Amino acid sequence: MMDKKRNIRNMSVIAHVDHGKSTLTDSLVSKAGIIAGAKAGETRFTDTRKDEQERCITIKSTAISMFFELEDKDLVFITHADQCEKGQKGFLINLIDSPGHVDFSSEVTAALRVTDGALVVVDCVSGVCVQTETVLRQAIAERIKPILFMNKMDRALLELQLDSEELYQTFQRIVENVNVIIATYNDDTGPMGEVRVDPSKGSVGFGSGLHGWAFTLKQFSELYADKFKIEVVKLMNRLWGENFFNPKTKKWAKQKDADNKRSFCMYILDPIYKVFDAVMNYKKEEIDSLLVKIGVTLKHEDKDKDGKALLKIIMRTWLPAGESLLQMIAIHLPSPVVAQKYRMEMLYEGPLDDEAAIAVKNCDPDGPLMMYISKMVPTTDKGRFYAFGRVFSGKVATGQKARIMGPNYVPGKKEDLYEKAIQRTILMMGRYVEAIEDVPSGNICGLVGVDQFLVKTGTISTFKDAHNMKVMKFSVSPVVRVAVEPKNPADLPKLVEGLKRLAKSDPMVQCIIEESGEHIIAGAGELHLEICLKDLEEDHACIPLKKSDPVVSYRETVSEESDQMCLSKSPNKHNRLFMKACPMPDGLAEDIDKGQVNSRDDFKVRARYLAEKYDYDVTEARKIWCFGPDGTGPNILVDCTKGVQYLNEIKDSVVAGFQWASKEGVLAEENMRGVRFNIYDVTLHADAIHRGGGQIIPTARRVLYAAAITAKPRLMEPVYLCEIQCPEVAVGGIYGVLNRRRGHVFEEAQVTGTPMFVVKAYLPVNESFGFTADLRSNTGGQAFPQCVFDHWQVFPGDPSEPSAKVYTIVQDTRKRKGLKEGLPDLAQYLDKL
Amino acid sequence: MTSAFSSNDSDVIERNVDTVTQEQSLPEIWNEARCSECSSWIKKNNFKKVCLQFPDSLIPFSIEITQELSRLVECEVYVLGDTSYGSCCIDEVAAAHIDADAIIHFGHACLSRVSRLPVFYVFPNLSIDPELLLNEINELQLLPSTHLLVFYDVGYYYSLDAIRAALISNPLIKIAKLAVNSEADLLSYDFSSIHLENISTCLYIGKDDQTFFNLNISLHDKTWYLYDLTSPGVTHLNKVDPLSSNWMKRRYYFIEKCKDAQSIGIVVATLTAKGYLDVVQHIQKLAKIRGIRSYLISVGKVNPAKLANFLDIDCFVLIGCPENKLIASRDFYKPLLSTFEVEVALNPVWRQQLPDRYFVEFKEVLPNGKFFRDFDELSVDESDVSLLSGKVRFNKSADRSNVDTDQTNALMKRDKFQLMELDSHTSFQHRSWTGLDPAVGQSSPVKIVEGRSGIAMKYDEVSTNQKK
Repeated sequence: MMDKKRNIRNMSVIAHVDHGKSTLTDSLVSKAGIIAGAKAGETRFTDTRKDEQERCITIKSTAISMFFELEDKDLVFITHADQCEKGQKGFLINLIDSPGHVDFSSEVTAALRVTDGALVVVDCVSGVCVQTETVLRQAIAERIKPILFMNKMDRALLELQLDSEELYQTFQRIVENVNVIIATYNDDTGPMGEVRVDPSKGSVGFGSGLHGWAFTLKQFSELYADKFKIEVVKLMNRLWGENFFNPKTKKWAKQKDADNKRSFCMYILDPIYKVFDAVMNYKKEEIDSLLVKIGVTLKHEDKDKDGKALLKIIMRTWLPAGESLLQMIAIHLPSPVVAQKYRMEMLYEGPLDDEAAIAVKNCDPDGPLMMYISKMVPTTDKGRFYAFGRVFSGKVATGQKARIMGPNYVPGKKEDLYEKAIQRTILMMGRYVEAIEDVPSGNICGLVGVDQFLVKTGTISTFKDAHNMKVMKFSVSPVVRVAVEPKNPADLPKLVEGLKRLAKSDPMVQCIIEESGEHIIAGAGELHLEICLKDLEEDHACIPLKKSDPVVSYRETVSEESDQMCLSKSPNKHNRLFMKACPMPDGLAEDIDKGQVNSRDDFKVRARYLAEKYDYDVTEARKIWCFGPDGTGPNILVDCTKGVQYLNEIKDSVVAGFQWASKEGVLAEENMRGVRFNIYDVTLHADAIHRGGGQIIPTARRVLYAAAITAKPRLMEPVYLCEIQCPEVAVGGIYGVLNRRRGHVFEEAQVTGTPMFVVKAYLPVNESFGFTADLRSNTGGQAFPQCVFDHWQVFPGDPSEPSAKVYTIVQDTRKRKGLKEGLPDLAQYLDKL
Repeated sequence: MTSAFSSNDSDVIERNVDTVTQEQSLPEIWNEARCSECSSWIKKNNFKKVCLQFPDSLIPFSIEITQELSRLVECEVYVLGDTSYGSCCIDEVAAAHIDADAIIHFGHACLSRVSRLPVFYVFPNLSIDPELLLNEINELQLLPSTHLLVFYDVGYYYSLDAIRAALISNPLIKIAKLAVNSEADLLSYDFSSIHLENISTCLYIGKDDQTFFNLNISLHDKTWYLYDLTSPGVTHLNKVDPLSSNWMKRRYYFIEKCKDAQSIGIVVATLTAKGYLDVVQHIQKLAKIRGIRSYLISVGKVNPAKLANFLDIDCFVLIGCPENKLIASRDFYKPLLSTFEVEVALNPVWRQQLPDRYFVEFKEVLPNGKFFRDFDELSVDESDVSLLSGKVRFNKSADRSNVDTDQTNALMKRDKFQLMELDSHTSFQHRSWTGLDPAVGQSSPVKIVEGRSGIAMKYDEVSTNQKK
């Protein structure tokens, strides 16, 4: 089956938290016969972890491969030649269920990379939420084709009691919202073409994952096609939008009139409403007559049920969710053959016409192997992982020798490259795995035996000159950190080993050891960290841990230009460096973060850009020596000297000093951000031996520190963008909590058609610990925030002022790192002429 | 012209030099008894050339002592000062310059074993009132069953008899023996007559310095008390936490850094301590199985500026006296590790577990040392994740043979005799300055002129063409 690449669909399920992804996925799993139909919606088969089941929240993305057959009448809807092998009814669906909570969006990113299509689930009661938008945006950026599913229709009918026209309006609005997002991030003329979702095309599904029923317009129009004597496709168009039918005159109209009715409401919603009404109000006779009409015969043992249980049975038999989802997926999502044509250029780093690129483009199983590993999945064997990923071309087989390339691999070099045999290839089946001989292109699978050569992601190839597949870009960044230490100091090696495993098992988490010797775990948010710590304690390290309170990493910056020219002399007093520091213009640091301005640009192009956008002097902008820290960070070192002898000889040493100083700033040894250092003059000893690295590196560091101190240093803190959904009564409580936590609201709007309000606010990460709990208690549990890192902001106050709050923060940080208390003295770094 | 490159001459003359406050006076270190001990030692062994080694603080007394001693003995007496690697160690190399027979060492000493020359120590003589000490110990109200072991600074060596006399009343108090003439078991102490496992409490008489610290972490499972007589006002016992945890944590960071290193510099900061060459070889061997390049560096007195000149070395290991204060310094551009730490980082045996104690002496990692663990070269073939960069760390030497390199033409494959491909040049490729630009064809030929001569501080410019 895996060889029929046109009959493969790789898809992920994405949505906002609590919109019912896992529940909906159950319908498909039950259709594949893996779990019983009656249990579908409750099992949440893809939530494999104990804590996922307990908390009812998905934490890790889980893959499952399923096989279905499509009926002949549905096969004709697949028009594209590359979407189906001739005469093949069977479809292999590789589905990845992803978490919805914003803290785990890295899992979504990893899932999107290996799939071609996305089922976007939206709760039709709460509508499009922040995370819906984020994941949808990510999907489009990865060139993933979306289809839409309106979930929780049962709630809309039973709890909100919306009438059919209102419900239609709600659907219509969600479709519009989704299409607006798609249109913002996708170009219709682009390689993916039009990706808009449209109910009349059948790419939007409606239903209830919990009750296990769903439908698309296609199914209803098939029912009515005979009656109206209209083609199914034409009828689908009639059943959505501004199409009204007058039952008396039997005429279609484009406008609403007194005696006609919207076709969607009349032919689709009305029957459903009738069933709901009859069952929930115990109208026994009506039920029987309805059952005949919709062609459902109840099994004997089900006849005694009533209320919701009966409703579930009837709806599930009438409109099985698995069936309509399968049709949506098979018909509207692209096969690997189709998708890889336009995704290749986004995926491959190397030249777009080399052997590997062409094989990926054609999804060629006979080409060289190209596989991307997007994440590591823990095995039952402690400390070992399955490398999970997608075969883009070629074939991966048990025992095959392949090149394993880490993210730092550069073609032609040896770094991050290992040539090893693949021990086993396996299929991921949710909770189980299945060994398999080989996996051809277009499939998703797991590998055994490559985990020790990769940390989180990597490329596997058999092609000698293959470049890497592009690394994934995450929408969140790890800004919250805790320090951990074992309760028993002798357990330290276990902790270190555990941290290494944790680093592998999560696509986003960072495990580092700081200069102070603390072991730090950095994650996207509080929940993310909580889960990571739990995993570390229970699965990876298996030792009791002491955890510090979460701390935020800060950045150091300057607020003005240095008030004096700073001079430092080398230890032998024969070399002098003259420098000043000044803040970067707004936006430049962000440009560097995004890579808009980076160290690899052509210096002329970069200088022109800087001159145009930030008014930098062109000649100076051409002489940017380097970025830092780590050669890429948002600080720059600019050579403003004129005619200094031997200057380029000391460049490497000054750059080394700059990397050092920008990594460990002067205030609290935090990274610097948004600082521009200018070298104004340099005097050097005439003999090379007296101006070596040993003399210049420490001097450069000292003068950079002196420049930073004289330029009014400030601390920067990370800030969350926080979206809170709540009813109107709770809005007041939100303001109170936010004010106390230095947050401010910048947008407040009602979700049209619902009583819900959406409040958007900026909240310093530092103040966000316990925010969720605080907010719930102040709003009676009605407000639910989603926080995602947004930007860096200068912490108000002067760090040298002992009364300021920022002074305490600096001192705390220094204490934590084992530095001397108080602020560093300028005289330590500044020398007199 | 020179003022652009070096400071004005007058600066040097006018510069205020910080004067070293004299810690000891002459009678404290030199008296009749010391003098006769020295002279009889020389006479007994019939030495012909003897060096007197002084730390910087005692140099002012060197003349007096030399004169006094040369009156008593017939041998030639030389003075050694400005010791390269720390004045606590014996400077055998300097003594070798004059082909001396013996050395008399003055001042604080670490008592490291010396391999070549006989040594006689003259310690400082610090005063102590043993009765007060006994009172302090009694005030601690230790359990009657706890054994107390007393350590002391070498400065109290001459008061030892008095201390012993005062403390003998309590059978539970034991006094450690300084290994002046015998093999030391731990640091400078000889435990041959003491059962360490019976001891639960330790006391140290002396300052809270590196010596104390080394003892402290070497025996970190004991309760430690410090009896500090030198700092004014403090005359009672202080309880000291054995593992000052922050310091230890920081060392773990350096160990992690060493695991990441591509190249390691072995800095030799001793030329006398016994077995230093074995340690060098041991580390070189460890580096080799790990696929790390190792460089042997000898730069005389070690300071940050000198080590920073080796830009390409990722981490340094200091082989020297455990009382060397450089290890604790934060000024170095690249981390400076002790032999113990490098051993933990590189020896594959220590991958899954950490040693339960910290050893400060390098001899412990050698065969016969308490810390020695043999390793199997094959066991290093395991990968690891770096906690600093988050990258995979994989053994380079093991890996090299696995990557199929027949495409690169860099080496010829021949079974078992495969040449190792050196990649040391790659680290130079990213440098922006790669040496002087020869500018061939761009500059016109000039006549050869005589260059400058003299030392860098001030060139002798009479003969240069700048004067013309």
